[in-house]
Amino acid sequence: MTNAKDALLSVENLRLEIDVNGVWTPVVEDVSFEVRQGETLGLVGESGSGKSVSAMSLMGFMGRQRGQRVSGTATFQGRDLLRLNDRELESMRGNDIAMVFQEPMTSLDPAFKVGNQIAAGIRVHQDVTASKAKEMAIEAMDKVRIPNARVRADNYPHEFSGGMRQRVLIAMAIANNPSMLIADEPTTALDVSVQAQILTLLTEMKEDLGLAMIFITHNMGVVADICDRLAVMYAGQIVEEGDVFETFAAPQHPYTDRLLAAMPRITGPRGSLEWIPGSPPRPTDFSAGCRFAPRCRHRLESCERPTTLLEISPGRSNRCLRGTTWMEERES
Amino acid sequence: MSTDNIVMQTEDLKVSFPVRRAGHSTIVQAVRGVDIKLRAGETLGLVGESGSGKSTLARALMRLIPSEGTVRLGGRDVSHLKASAFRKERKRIQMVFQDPYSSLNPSLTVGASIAEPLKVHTKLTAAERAERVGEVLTLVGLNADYADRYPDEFSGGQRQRIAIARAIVLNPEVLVCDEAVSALDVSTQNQVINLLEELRDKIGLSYLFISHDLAVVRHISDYVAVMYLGEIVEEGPVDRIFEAAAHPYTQVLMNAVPIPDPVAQRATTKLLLRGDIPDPTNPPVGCTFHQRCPFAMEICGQQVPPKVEIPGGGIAKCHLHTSGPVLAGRPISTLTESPAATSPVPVSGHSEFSL
Amino acid sequence: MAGLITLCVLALVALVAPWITPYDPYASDLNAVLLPPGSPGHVLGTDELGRDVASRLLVGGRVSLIAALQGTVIALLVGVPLGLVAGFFGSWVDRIIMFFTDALMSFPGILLAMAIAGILGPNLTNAMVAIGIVTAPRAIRLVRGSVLGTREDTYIEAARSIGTPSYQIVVRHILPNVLAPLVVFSAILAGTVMLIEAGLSFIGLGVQPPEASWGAMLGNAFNYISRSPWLAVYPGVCIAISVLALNVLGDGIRDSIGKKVRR
Repeated sequence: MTNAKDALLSVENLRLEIDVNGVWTPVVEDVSFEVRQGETLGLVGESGSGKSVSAMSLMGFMGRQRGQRVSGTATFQGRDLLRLNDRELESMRGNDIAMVFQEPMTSLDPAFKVGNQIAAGIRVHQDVTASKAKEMAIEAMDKVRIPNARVRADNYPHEFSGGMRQRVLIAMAIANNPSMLIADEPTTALDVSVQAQILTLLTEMKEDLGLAMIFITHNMGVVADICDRLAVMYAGQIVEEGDVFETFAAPQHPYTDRLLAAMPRITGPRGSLEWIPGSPPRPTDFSAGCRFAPRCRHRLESCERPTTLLEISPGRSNRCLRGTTWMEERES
Repeated sequence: MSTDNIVMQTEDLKVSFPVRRAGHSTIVQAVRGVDIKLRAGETLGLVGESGSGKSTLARALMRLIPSEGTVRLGGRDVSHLKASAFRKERKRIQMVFQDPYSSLNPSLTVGASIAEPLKVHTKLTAAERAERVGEVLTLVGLNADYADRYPDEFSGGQRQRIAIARAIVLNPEVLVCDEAVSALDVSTQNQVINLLEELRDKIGLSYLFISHDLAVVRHISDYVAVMYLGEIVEEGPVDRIFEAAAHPYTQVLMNAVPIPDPVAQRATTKLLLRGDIPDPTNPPVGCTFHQRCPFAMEICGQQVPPKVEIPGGGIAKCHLHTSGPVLAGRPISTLTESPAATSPVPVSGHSEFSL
Repeated sequence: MAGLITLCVLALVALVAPWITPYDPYASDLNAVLLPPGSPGHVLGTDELGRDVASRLLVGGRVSLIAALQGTVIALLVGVPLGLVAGFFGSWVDRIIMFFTDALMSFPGILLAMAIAGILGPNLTNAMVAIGIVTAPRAIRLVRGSVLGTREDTYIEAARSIGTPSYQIVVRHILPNVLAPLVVFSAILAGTVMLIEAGLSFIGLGVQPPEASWGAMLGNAFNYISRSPWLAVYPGVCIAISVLALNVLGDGIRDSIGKKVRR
């Protein structure tokens, strides 16, 4: 199934460095992944893992400012996103690649009606009249299942609930028929029942519009729900990548394993909660060897060697230097 | 499981605020008549989403905002005590807040923050206070010399431990944890929860644990109450609630929590709510949940549902147990698993699950 | 740093001024009227009554600096408690205090100071009271703003839930956060007060002859500006240097404190 589709986005060796007191410090490095048409890739990690920063770099929100530099390639529809100039990037944002962020309240301008904001986003990229754009905006709001779209298009952001605002943002994002959506923790700030609604909506959008998606989150449950593949990030690197069913069934990297074990569940035995000792290293303390080793219960001295993301089978990669030998040491 | 020693109790607790809506003043009933009972050594988990009133309830218990109704601490009615008289009662009930980054004064040392309750309520000397501070720091798993450091030298998880230390320094009976772990990473969150459980056994605390995270609540609680729009719609022992939820809202909430197992998660039928939470200044007639409920019947929009006792423990406020397909205490899952057998009488437009 | 050093030097000089003046600052010598700077025995020259300018500059500096201190202290004594009360208790207390504050602020400072000093009677203390009252609104606003900013922080709520009485909350939690901007503000305020004092003395409402202050000297010198311009230069320069030093000190404090209070 995957061979028939070409990669829509192909990221290779993405590296973002920040100037910290005169020293170029990599925040994210050796990041490579692919997103195929209609596929949803989950970029998973805890705070500080570099997942958001990687996506921001792709879209030019990071890496182009003073004190930041980015290297590597990110090929999208034949063009390298990292090498586009500002004007080309702007014409791509909201048009070919759209973004949805975590905080719906701050992404919308409180002073303008919601319908007008969506229409404005349409008119930036499509040559249509104001009234046609308004119609298209209402259509987009319909697609995201906002009831009474025509009436609500004339409401202001504060008149919507959190979940509805997020739908508005999604409407804005799909209004220009992008091929890919980058969603950065879009449901983290929402109630769980609202999250369920939004995830269902996104799944439908994916199917109806053939949207490819990069879904950034720290919640493995959400990944299990909506993603086809996932890339787990730790301390600025991808530590594991693969198909979502295979990875959850048998995680290849100890970090992924611990992350899954730590998640409290609402079914199953109520045993004591698992946790990982220590905390993730800061970018200034990144080591060349395995960055998870200090906290890993399977670490050996050999884990101080430099790591690479090794493809162990088509579409599946693992950064653990011990390959799968660590699995024998697990209690279960 | 439960001794009959009730350390905290509320009866018909109500909280309302004046609010301006569209140019005129009106009242929001954030908490509408809540009864909760907390027994010694027990953890009561209070679950709800935004607008449920759970945090407002916590603040009312701590007298940070005014309320009506009865509050009893250790059997004593404290609701009518004046502020100065209530101050003494505060020794028995303390609070841990959500944000570890703003609940500690950045210009005070950790030791000074922890010692504040001692300064306010006891006549201990400085040396005695320092000793007690060292004691509680050790209890929460931190080094006693951290007392001389400032909060900004610590991580979120450590700050939350400091906040817990401050809350237990007076040896209270009840600890109110208001989303105390919600701002932490999963691993840190788990460590703090383990700490709370350890402390509960070690020094004999009872917790009111407020959270929107069902999995966490399931873990730490003995008894769970689910809140929606200011009232408790269901409560019961934790196992009964999670295995046999008796209120549609509880069922919807549990269904909404994504399972970190793609096979199981995608096999689950989604139970989605319709629409948004209603305007609290203008709550629906009858059951406050009926406009969004996947199983709503005609009577739900007309009469307030009765409190029904559920076998296995606790109560649920739902007409499904007394009218329509009478569940009579059976779990809601019997409706979702075989909709054909016990499909509720549809009200026009209300019978499908929809977004 | 530079500001601090300059101020210390000035303060020191002012303190010992009465003992180091080469001449009695009040002694007139009508034979030595309006001597230019560099005249034998009078490094900086003499004024219209033959008094040694250098001596008068020293004692005048003392008066000016003390006056600046007085005025600032009065402004703080009035402003800080009112600001704290207004910010912390809010509602009608806040509204009343702010009403009067805004009313005071709507008058041009110097005119108001003149009016008050005029009513109270022309002497230095009254002038300082006037200036203190006139500049207090700024202190009130600053303190109130600080309090409002801090009041909603969760640790204040935590303190209330512990049962800490209000006055303890104000002293223990709110005041330290107010103190930082207040110190900066005071340094700069002192500079402003000095200028206003100079202004009042200039027009005769502050220091009365034969007392000297830099402002008074400036005022006097004005009459002789065509003949002996240097008489105006010295006090003017002294005022300028002091005010500058105070402002620089204020900036310096703000920068160093800023690093500590930031989370």
